[in-house]
This record gives sequence, structure tokens and C-alpha cells, in this order.
Amino acid sequence: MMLNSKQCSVSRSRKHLSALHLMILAVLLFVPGAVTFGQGVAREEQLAIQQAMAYVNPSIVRIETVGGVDLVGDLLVGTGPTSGVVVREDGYIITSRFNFVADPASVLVTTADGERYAAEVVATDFSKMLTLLKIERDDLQPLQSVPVDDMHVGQRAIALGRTFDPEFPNVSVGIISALKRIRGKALQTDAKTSPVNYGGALINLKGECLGIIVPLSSQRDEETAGVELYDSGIGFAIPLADIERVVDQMIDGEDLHAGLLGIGFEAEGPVSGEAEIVRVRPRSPADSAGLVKGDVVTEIDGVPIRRVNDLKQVLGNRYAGETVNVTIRRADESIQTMVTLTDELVAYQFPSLGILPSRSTNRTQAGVGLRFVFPESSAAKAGLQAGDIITSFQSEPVETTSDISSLLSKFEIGDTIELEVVRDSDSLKLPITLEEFPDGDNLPNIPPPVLTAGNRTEEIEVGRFNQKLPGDDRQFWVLVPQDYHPEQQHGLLLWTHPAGDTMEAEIVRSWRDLASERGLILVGVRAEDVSGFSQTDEEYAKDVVEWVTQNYAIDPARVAVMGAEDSGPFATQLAFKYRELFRGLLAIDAPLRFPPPDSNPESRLLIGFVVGPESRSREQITKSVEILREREFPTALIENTEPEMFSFDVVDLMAQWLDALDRL
Amino acid sequence: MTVSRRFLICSIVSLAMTLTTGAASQAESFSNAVDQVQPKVVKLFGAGGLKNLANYGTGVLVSPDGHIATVWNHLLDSDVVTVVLHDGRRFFGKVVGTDSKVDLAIIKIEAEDLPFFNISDTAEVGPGALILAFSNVFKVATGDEPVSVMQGVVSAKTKLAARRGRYRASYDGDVYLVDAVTNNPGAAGGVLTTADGKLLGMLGRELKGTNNTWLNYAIPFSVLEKSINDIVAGRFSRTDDLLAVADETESSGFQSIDFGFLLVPDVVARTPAYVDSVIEETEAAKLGLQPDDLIVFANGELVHSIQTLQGVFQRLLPGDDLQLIVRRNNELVTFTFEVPRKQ
Repeated sequence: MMLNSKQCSVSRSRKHLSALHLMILAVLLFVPGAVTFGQGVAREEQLAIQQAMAYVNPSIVRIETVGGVDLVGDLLVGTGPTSGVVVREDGYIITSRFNFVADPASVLVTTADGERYAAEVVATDFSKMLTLLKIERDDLQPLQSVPVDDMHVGQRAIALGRTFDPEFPNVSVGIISALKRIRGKALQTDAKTSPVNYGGALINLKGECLGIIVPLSSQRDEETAGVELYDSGIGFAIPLADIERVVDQMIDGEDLHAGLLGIGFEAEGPVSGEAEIVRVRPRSPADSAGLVKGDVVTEIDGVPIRRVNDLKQVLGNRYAGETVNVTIRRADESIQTMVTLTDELVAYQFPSLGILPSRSTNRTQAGVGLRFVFPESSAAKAGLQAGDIITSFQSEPVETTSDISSLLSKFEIGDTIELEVVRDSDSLKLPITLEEFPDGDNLPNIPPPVLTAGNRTEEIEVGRFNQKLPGDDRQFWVLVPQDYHPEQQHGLLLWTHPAGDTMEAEIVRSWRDLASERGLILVGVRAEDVSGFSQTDEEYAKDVVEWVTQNYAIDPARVAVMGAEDSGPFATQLAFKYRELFRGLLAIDAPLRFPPPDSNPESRLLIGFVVGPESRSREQITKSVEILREREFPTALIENTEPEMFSFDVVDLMAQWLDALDRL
Repeated sequence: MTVSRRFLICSIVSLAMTLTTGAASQAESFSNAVDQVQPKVVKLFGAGGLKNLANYGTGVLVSPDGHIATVWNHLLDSDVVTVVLHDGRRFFGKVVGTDSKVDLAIIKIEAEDLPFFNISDTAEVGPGALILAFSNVFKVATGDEPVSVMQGVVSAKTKLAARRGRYRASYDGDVYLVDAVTNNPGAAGGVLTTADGKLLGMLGRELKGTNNTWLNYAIPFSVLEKSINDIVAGRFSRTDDLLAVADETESSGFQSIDFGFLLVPDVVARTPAYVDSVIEETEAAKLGLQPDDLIVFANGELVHSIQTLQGVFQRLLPGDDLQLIVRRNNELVTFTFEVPRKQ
């Protein structure tokens, strides 16, 4: 009884309980036959659910959008109405960001009493995928939130939206399945959640709001992530109590972003060990706070961190701009430091010399030979010439290309370094100022590499042939230049075909000569299913690439994957997932479908988009190039002037781009 | 007012408090209902089996003499339909009548004294009401096994706004939407009941709603009742042609220019319906419509794009009212046009 009276006194503070609200309750309760079955808990629970619904009804609004794109990523976005929840009396409504992924021209809100308003988007929480709207109204009824500590797994959870019927909320009933899901951000429910109630309220039987329903995914971060889980019994809601903490900031128009530290760990899975830092991003908050590789994070804001996952749980609920107290263990010392989280880590910018290293293996002089010096590059300005041999970099002797690239990664654009070069048995010291890495479009005419003659044994197969992986029935094709021999390292291009057409004959015909000229081996995998490549093919494609690298002399700096049209996303996924394997990605008439990972010096990835004369995705492709360049991925836009996908001219450009993958 | 509010909250709380006991009685109440309903639901096997067209489905007995109501779909596109009763008895049924307006077909088997639902004795419930759904979803039940039961609540009672692939569904009347995932292959023709087994509706096809998510819906028997009774009594037996179901609305051919304004060019899939220009001395000009007004509602329908607006124009008849609500800056402004006679 104590609880009852307390609850009643809380409710007195509410100002608006309209006549309509009571009327709806009456309708719900006295629908003929609503209470038809016998005595017992089920009937009482049904009543309680309907009463709770009626109680929160005035706070649930309908949201409709006008205009906007109909495809976001690969997801066809519906045009149906969605829901929102009143958080402030004076017209502030919180809803799921999912409802605006289509970038609508206009947003309309219908309140529970049937009034329609034009709404303004005030602010967005990009971490928890929420959007705050404002309408001109000052007598709305906000929902009361349940304190996070009062939520327990197993409690009733009722999911409400206002999508189907403007007069009653639509409802789905379940329980709280878990707390602190998705890096501590969300509670999980088995009530059915889908676009019909994203943005709506998850309430308890008392008519208090547990959270705002949103799609979320533990694997992906983009705005439509988690929608594929709709109606599956796995739904998420952001606790309203957490939202209330930041709602004033959002009312002031401040967008919120996830707070980042800028540290990386060896393994990030759920079974990972203690949080030992293996990477600190330059110029990140962690870097400024003095954290270094080898430090182990043991505590954040008083919460003990036993494994990497604990750290993610704590930081997932934090926003950029917040300051956290980090305790680390360095050797046997415990160090405490305050770190202010950031919304964006400065991407690693590759510095460049402007050279193509020579690939011949039978050199007389130690060092790295130059095959080509890009005109106008800093190398050219410093006087480097093709045929020169670099013997040392800032007084450090260099033997291989990778020596130079790892030394380069310690410098920034604008730094001046000194190269020691051997030219015609003279030794020269040349100062050179590092420049921005070229994006790779409008490459100058790069002469084909000089391929040295050599011998190969009979067992090595060349030409075009089919192959299977050991223990696997699926065939892939390989195209090896006729004059291949293992003393000459080759580039490797993996082709992933669009749905329904392997385009094998076309590829072989159009690439055969140019691949041979540029020292390239082509491999084509076939999708297991005619409808195209799926996630299950990823591992297979990687194994195929590894088979080739094991059986042929492949230069690890020139391994690339190519996709066209609807296989573009698959090729992109391979390149983003197997960062240690792929150094290049070619996407033909296929814009970027998901956000890129971080560009980092250990696994450089160069990207090329090919766009045809009449491509319908030109605009999206140009946008993709912009996004990737912003993230410091050297990204080329290659124009195909012919209508055919593999015209001679464009294959020549792609082959040159691939040939220049190992540029420094 | 204050008193009633306080009463409401207290009653909600006290109800919530009583829910912690007596789970056993709930199970009992469901099992009684299940025992009553299951013998009246039958398994159907017919045409299909290719690609994703199921060759199985569900039906409900609506007379003691073997009339079975089901959803009228491809399954029935064969000479006979195999009907398997809850006790394993097998019959061959024939379609005796259909009504495409409500997606209904009646099959008749030669049998007597069967358990059946009296379709005029149905319940009406609102959102939040507990429901049970019975169907042979995914063909799990075979032989004498009874059909599967699911439990959930009514999500909403509303008009069906759905499509099948790219096409609009033919039925657009009242439906119950439920929060259980009921509408999967084989479920069409099953029944939705209250938690104590009172008839609510017939489970429908697999359709996607306007949010591009699958709908779990049932058509209330009150909607089906007349057609079922007519077909059973032999008064009605139109056999609809599957292909003849088409959009029957005649085009009246109205365009925005008939009202004195022009829209921006319809260039992308969802071009918002912005007014491009208003022609002088027309009704639009007199009413005060302005260029850059964004039309957001037309006769109550949300205008997603120019295409939706054109759909509304197509349905206008001379003499009707055309009400447009436009967004101008942050305000909504309403205009009411009279639809002119066309020359």
C-alpha cells in the first residue's frame, strides 16, 4: 500500500490528463467482449496493459515524413508513419533517428488529440540514434521515466507506437530481456519492435516509460543497423532516464556523438582479455593524455575494467565532450588521468614521396630502386630520377620497400627528410619534403614494369584454368600471364561478379593482355547462390586469395579486390574486413554502402571507383569518393568514357592504378 | 477530475501488483480455449510448392456439413484440395464460392456432424487484448496432429494498408493486427481468437505494410460473415478470376493545372510536392497558394511525393472538394478548392 500512495502523489504533479484521454480509457475498457474470458491473472493483466496504454496515450505521437530517398543503403525505406514520444510539455518530442534516414523534406507530427503540426528537427544523438523534434504546442504531457536502477529483467514491457490507427497506440507485449545491451546503451525486450513502433515508447504496467524504441545492432553502427532484427523478439530501447540526462543539451540544438578515446586493442571479442592498449591514435584524446602502447586500462570513473568488453560498456554510454577519469597500469605503477572524449579521431594521413619502387629481385646494389618518379611530385622536385637507388632514409639504411613505408609512417606531411641515393655509382644526399598521398586519379602514363625473364617448372600452371580449394567443391578461375615465373612478383586482382553473371569470358578477354603487361594475376570467385554474394562467401573469397598467394609469387602490396554494380558492397566488405590482405579496392559503378573503417598506417587501403558515362549512381559515387577522402583513404575516381564496363581504355586505367598500388 | 485520475493510477498500480501470482490459472484458461478451437481448424493441401509459394494452408470449419472458410489464394488453384481434419480424417474438398473483395473462399467436403464455429457469435476486442492464433504455419502439423497455437496481443484494429510485392493488396477494410508473428507460409485461413477461444478473425496472407515490414493481420469474421453465410446457403457463388482483380477506379484525369498551379518537375522517385508556380487569376491565386508551398496533405491523405498527389487528383470527381494542407515555413495552411467541371 505504501507504493500505491507514493505513486498517487507522483501522479498529482501531472497537469494534463485530458478528457479525451479518459474517454479512450473508457473505450478500451468497455469494448464489447474485451473482458470475455474467465477469472484469473490473464484477464487482470490484459486490463492492466490496456490501462497503462490509455494512460500514456496522450504522450505518443505519430510522425510522418514527406519526400526523401527511398533507398538507404540496401534497405528499402517505407513511407509509412512512425512514432515519437513527448519529453517536454512545450512541444519537444524524442524519436528514433531511423525515422529520418531517408532525409525527408518535411516532418509532420500528429498529436494524440488528432492535431497536426509541422515539426522542426532540433538535434540528433548519433550515438544512440535518437532525434529531438519541436512542435508549436505548450500543453503536451511528457512521460515519467523509470529510473535505470528500477529496471529488472523479466518485468513486463509494453511497446507502443502510433502507426496504424491515429486514435489508439499500436501495442506489442513482452518483457525486459536484458539491461545494458549494445555497449551499455540500451535495454533489450522481446516485445515486437519494427518500423511501426521505432521512436515509440516502451512502458511498464504502471504507465511509466522504460525507454524509446530504436533499431540497434551489436555488429554495425549505421543508421539502419538492427532493422533486420524486426519482429524477431530482439528489440532495443534507449532508457528514457538516460535521455533525460542530455535532453537539455539537445534542446539547445547540440548534436551528440559517441565519445571516443583513440585506443585500440588486440582482440575485441567478448572473450578478450584485459584492456591492454596496442595502438594509440596520434592526436587522439588518449595520445594527449599521455597514454602509450602497453598501458593496461584498469578503471574508468571508478568502474573496474577487467576486460576490453567492460571498457566498451562504460564508454558506450558516454558522449563526446564528457571527461572521464581513466586509471591505467604501466609496469607496476598505477596512473590516473582525466581524458576528454572526442567525437572524431583525426584520421591517419599518409605522407608520400611520389615514387614507384622497382620490383626486380636480382639487384647488384643494396637498397630500393626507383622504377618511376611521378612528375610534379616532391620526389621529382627534389631531383630523384627513375633508376636511382635509395640506400638510406634519414640515415637509416633501407633494403626493401616496406622499410621505406614503415619509416615514412613516422613522419607527417610537410616534414623534410633526407634520402641517400645511388645514381650511376655516385652517392647523393637529397632533402625531400613529404607531401599528401595522391588520390590516384589522373595518374600520369606509367610505363609498364620491366618484367625480367626467368624460369618456371612444369608444375606451375599458367593461362586460364579452373581450380578448387582442397576439400571444397566450388570452382574458381585463375588467369596467370603466360610468361609468369616465380622470381617476378605479381599483383593479384580478385574479381567478385555481380548477381547472376560471372562475366568470366568478358573479363578474360578484356584483361588478358593488359594483365600480362602489368604483371597481374586475376582470380574470379563464383557466388554460391545465383542471387549474388552473401556474408557466407567472405571466408571462401579470402581462402581463395590465400591459395593464390601460397602458390604464386604475389607482392603483398598489390593485392586488390574488384566488384561491379551489386557485387560492389561484397568487394567493399572484403576489403574492409580483411585489412591485412587487401591493399586495393576497385568498385565499378557501385557507390559505398557502409561506412569505412579507420585508415591506419599498418594496413593501407587504396580505393578506386569507376563510373561509366550513363551511370545512375554517379552522384552517390562522387559522394562516396568525398566521404572516403575525408577519412584519408587515398581514393581515385576513374572515368569510363565508353558504355561497356570493360572497354580497353578503362581496363588500361584500372591496370595502371593497380600497377601503382605500391607507390610511396 | 483529480479524483478520477488518482483512482486510475491507483487502480493500475494495484492491478500490476496482483500480477505476481497465479500463473497456473492462466495456462489453464488458455488450454480450455485451445481444446475448443483446435478441432474446428483444418489443414489444407493444394497447388503450389514452387519457389516460395506454399502448397499448404489452413481453413476453419463454419458449418457442421463440411463448409470450410479460408483465404482465397493460389493454393485453391487446383481441381481438388486435400483437407485433413484434426483427427487425421482426410477429405477432398471443392471450392464452392469465393469473394475476392474480402479475400475469402469456401471449400466444401462431404462430411457430417463436424465441430464448427458459429460465425455470427464473434467477439470484438481492442488493442492490448490477449489473443490466440491457430494455423498450420510452416506445415508443422501432419496427420492427426492439431494445428499450432500462438499467443500474443492485439496491436491495433485498423484498416489494412498493405501491398503484395509491388502491388497493393485487394482488401483494404478493417483488420486486427497482432504482435505475434502469425502470418507466415501456411497460416492464411487460420483463426484468431480471444484468450478464451471466442472467434475474432481469419488470419490473412503474407503482406507487407507501408513501413516495408511484414504484417501480422486477421480479417474480422464480422466482415466475412455475410459472404460466408451467402455462399454456404448457396445464394452467392461468384468465382472470381484471379487476374481480373485490378484497380477499378476510373481516371478522371485532373491535374494541378486545373486548380491553377503547377508543381515542380517530378524527377526523382519521391519528389516532394512543392508548388512551382501559381497561375494568375485562378482559384489557387485567389485562395492565396504560393510558390514553394509544400503540399503535405490532400483530402486527408499524406502526400509523400508528387505521385501520391497525382493519385488523389485521379480520384476526384467534379463538384467534390479538394482540401490541400501545405507547409509554408513552419506553419500548416489549409486551402479548399472546388473541383471544377472539365471541358
